[in-house]
Amino acid sequence: MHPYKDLPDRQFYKLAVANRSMFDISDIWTPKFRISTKDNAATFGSCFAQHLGKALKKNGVTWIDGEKAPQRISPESRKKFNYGIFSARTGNIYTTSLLKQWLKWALEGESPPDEKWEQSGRFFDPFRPNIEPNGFASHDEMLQLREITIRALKKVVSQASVFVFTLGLTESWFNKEHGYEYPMCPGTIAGTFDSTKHLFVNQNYPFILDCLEDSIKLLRNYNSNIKILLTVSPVPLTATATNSHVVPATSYSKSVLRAVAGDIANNYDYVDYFPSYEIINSPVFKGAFFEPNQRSVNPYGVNFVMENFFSCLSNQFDDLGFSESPIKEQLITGESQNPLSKKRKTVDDTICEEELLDAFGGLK
Amino acid sequence: MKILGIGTSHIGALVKGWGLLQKQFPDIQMEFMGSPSRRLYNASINNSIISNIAFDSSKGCVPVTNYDGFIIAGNLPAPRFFANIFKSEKYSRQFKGMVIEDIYFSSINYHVLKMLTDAMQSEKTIIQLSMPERRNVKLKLSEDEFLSTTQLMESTINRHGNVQYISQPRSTLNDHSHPIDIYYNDAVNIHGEVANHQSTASIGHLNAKGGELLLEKCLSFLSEKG
Repeated sequence: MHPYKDLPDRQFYKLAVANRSMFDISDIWTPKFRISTKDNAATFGSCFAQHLGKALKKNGVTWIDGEKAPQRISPESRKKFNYGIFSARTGNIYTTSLLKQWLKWALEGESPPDEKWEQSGRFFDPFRPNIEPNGFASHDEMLQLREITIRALKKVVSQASVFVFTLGLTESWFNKEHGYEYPMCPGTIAGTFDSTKHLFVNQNYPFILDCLEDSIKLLRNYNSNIKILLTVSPVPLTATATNSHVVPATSYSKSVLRAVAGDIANNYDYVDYFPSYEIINSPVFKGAFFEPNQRSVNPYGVNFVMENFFSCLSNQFDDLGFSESPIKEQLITGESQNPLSKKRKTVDDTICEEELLDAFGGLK
Repeated sequence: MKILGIGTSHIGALVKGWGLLQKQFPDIQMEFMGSPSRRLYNASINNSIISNIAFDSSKGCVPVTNYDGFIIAGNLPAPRFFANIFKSEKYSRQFKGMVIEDIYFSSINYHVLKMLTDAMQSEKTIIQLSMPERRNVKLKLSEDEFLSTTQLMESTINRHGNVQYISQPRSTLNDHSHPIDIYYNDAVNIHGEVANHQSTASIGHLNAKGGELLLEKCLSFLSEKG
């Protein structure tokens, strides 16, 4: 007798993977806790988290929208102004340190900096530079609307039974003097880069782990019933500031994030890890879920990830209340009648500030 | 002058109002068409005839090109809806600046406008109406707030085509721009008959008296314009 003798098929590569069509690979996740239509879910993090939010909503899980746009606003304008993207209008939160920063503002009342990025008479929020299409009309307005978001985040945390966070990046930018973090390098969307003021940090495992643990403590101290679901974004880096090739830079980032997420999930009963990263990126799936740009996840990939999410939950728990046939991501749609709308390029139309770095490639 | 009133359930008050107003406008002939709520999106124009419409007083016999003007009563929100947004601290100035246009372009009103203008060879005057103010909304508006919001709606909507936005008559609202009951009690349905216990109708639909005042405002404008 030995420990491998009675293991289930899913734990053997030959049985779980090699002998199967890739679309028959199943039981890829054993959820630790229930997520059902009775739950209130909040989603934050990297671009991929947006897919989770949409899918949860479509399957009857209450997705918390902490900053609702007025009714009747067109979907195009809603998206342009970042309503309904994450559970509060924080913009992308790519790192665990950024998450901790937002949570300290919201849950511990720490004052955020009043730094502003001014461009052509408009004011951009350094902590969510893409939140308004052309920035804010004034510095005061920028601060006031950020305060609204911070209050909304606090309320979202109080209401959520599940907090879903998608870890996205290790590469980050900090203010040297004051130590706070920006989601994007100053000067890329707005602001001005100053090497005397701005510091690049490619975060390492201990730092990311500490920030995530601190974030979880903040969440649980404020809402002792909240459960946390972690995922790692499967989307490769748009660009790296490390002087490495973007492929090993991506590998480093994703490996470290995956290790942190896995270790944290192992250490806490109320934290789980869902393997969306593996589903998209594992060689098992042969890169089938990437668009031709080999970076964006195609709708088939998003659907496959979400099908696995709900089927694994349903296999583990009864009476979750999910819709029997989840509504799949719509494939390419036609133009809306709204003359203010632009034609959709692809369904993977997530808001991704990091993608804006693409604009700087090939300029030399 | 031949005028077509076309809209959602809100057209019912205009139908009934026309019954009371006809003699006052002897040079005007009116027809009415409508479908409840979002079913109006199904209406289409083929060979200048509007079809897929639930109610049609012309019985499908009058080409749209025969009309001299149109009154559209769709789902464009009332001024109070926008005033609520403008008063809120939650939205940026930029957002508030685009909200009327955005919602107007997404409305059934705009959809019908496009359908009509695409079908007509010459430019005709089109009146856009917002839905009447609802009874159950708490926000009070001062006279100035109501006026400024209405003016903003007018300047935004009138920018697009030969269109005139006409607001609900001030006399149907009280000092805080809330509906006065006598213009809403016994609200009418799409055909102009008194609606039977339709709670939506009694909260946000005009009755015959209210429809009369609103239609009078529209027809006076159209008569002056010629």
